[in-house]
Amino acid sequence: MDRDIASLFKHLDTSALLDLALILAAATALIVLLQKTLPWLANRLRGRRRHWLLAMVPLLRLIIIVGAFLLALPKVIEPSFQNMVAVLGSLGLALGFALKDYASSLVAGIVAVGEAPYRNGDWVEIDGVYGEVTHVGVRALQLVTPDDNLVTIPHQKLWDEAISNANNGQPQLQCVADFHLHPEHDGARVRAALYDVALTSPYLAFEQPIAVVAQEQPWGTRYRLRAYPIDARQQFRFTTDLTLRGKAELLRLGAAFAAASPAPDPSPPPS
Amino acid sequence: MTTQPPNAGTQATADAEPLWQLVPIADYRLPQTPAAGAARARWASLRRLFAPRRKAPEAPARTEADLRGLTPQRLDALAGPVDWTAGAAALDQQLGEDADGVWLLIGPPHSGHGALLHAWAAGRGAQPIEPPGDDAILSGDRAWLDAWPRDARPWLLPRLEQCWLRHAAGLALVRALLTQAQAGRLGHGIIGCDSWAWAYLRQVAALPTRRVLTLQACDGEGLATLFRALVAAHVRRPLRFRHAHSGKPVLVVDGAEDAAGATELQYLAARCRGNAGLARALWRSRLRAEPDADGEDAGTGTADDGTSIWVAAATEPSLAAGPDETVALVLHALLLHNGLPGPLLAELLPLPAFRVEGVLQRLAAAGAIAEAPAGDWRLTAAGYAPARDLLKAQGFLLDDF
Repeated sequence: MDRDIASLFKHLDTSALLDLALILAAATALIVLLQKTLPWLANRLRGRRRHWLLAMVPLLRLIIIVGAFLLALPKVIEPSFQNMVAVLGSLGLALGFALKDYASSLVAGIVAVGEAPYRNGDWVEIDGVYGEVTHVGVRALQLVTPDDNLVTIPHQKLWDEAISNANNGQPQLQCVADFHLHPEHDGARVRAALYDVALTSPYLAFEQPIAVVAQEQPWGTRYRLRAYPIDARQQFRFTTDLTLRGKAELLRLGAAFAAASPAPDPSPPPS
Repeated sequence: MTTQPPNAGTQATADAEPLWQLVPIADYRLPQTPAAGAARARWASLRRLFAPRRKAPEAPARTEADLRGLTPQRLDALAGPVDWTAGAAALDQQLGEDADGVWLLIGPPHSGHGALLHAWAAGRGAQPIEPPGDDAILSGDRAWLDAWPRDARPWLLPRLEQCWLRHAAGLALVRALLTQAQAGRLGHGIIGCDSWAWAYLRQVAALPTRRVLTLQACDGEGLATLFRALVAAHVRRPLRFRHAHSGKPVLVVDGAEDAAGATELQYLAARCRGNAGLARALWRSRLRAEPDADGEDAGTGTADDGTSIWVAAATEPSLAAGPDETVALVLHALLLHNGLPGPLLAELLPLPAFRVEGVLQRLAAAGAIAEAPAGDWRLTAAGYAPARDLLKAQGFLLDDF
């Protein structure tokens, strides 16, 4: 039996070892180069070109890894169908038992490259963490949150967590500024004023729609001003700009803000 | 400050197509970039991306150190102010029989459309209207609109871009003005508007689509005609404008032509996007002469003896904004309003005043903007094209020109 398994593998002489070392070194160098240069270049660009370049990183890395694996495999085993099934099957079984979560994340990483639920440059929320995807690795992705924290999340979350992607590969994403007004006010004037607040923001992407949504509440009226900034990275500055200038404009119009916090739901009557 | 009268040569180009053509804005045609020029621009852009401050290694025919700048008098003789009488006549012709109601003339920065309108107003006895003050704009005070002239004379509002502010309270007055103009309640007149303000107002107000004109773009040939016409009559001919880098003639006045010059002027026309006024300002800023043997500036005294004027290589201020959007925000606000004073600019931008002031100083030091005597900061002719490139790269709203 041992002899059968041993016969699958080639005798690794110095030349074969050298080839393997070269393949490994070249693949590693290429991946490191790729992961350094493309984000560097992308961060000097804006809009679609930046997102496209960032999104290319994991795909190109996967291609390099698969290429290196295919080059290395014939150096180690005889490349017949039976040998491949035997070795890869054993490898899969070992990984499945010993490194189940790790292997799951690796597979999810491959799926993530294909399905692209997140790419570099996207703003996503996974498991309650919101931030910009800065690195899609083999096993995990990295987010930078608005508080400038780096969060590493395994791709495994892909299987059972909802992934909310705010811009989905596009340079723009929707921002919302909330205003809570006293019920007695001229709604039409407020809507027109908030629309102008968005139109006069220096961050506004004009090709995207603007919407003012009003919702009547027991404590007053809630207005939501929805608009898109030019670049997703401007979202917090844009929302702040809309909020501050919106508030100033509403005060100028004489609108009163709702002073009390929303009342809690009344407890169910005793049966 | 120049004192020489405008050169009259721009009025008459009887044997060729008229220099100034007014067309509906939809008919504006950008000049084509020569293939070599386009490749050069792409290469320069790529070089800026990787090494922003790297110098070109080629040895020029004349370096900047070999040449001297010209005096204002000499510059006026070689590339003086444009006489817009012919442009005003072209405008009158375009108005034709349909001279009632309100017309609009749109032009990009430095194009000279404001000067054209003033020339038209002087010829027609039109009454110029000053824009309202900033306080009136922000308070929506209609007194300015109520005081609109009601007599039979035509009127001229040359700067629509100064009748509004990018502020939630700064649009009401211009919307009311445009509504009344379209309803025919303002009588007969012409409104001049900067192309950037026009692009913005299109997003925030109902603008007319008829009776909106612009000066047609100038190509390289048009620029050659213009630059020849700008050379004063007393300048000795033949006169050769030679490129300081290649040594080849760019433009010859009353002498044998050279094909190389046409490419250079076509590249200039393309870089200026057909904006003849901007091209003239850049051309003027590039003119140099060799110092005399006795060390005096060739631009003074008897400089007409020389037949060559050197055209220095085009240089543009480096805006080097990087990922920081502050520079772009400042430039965009300045362009939309065709200039703003520093304190008002700080009010319109979501940035601290000290930061806005810092950016203004940095851009002024780079030569991209300059402060007008009235206190407004405006983009310089040299700074316009790189500023537009920067805003385009960062996805900001652009003009159509």
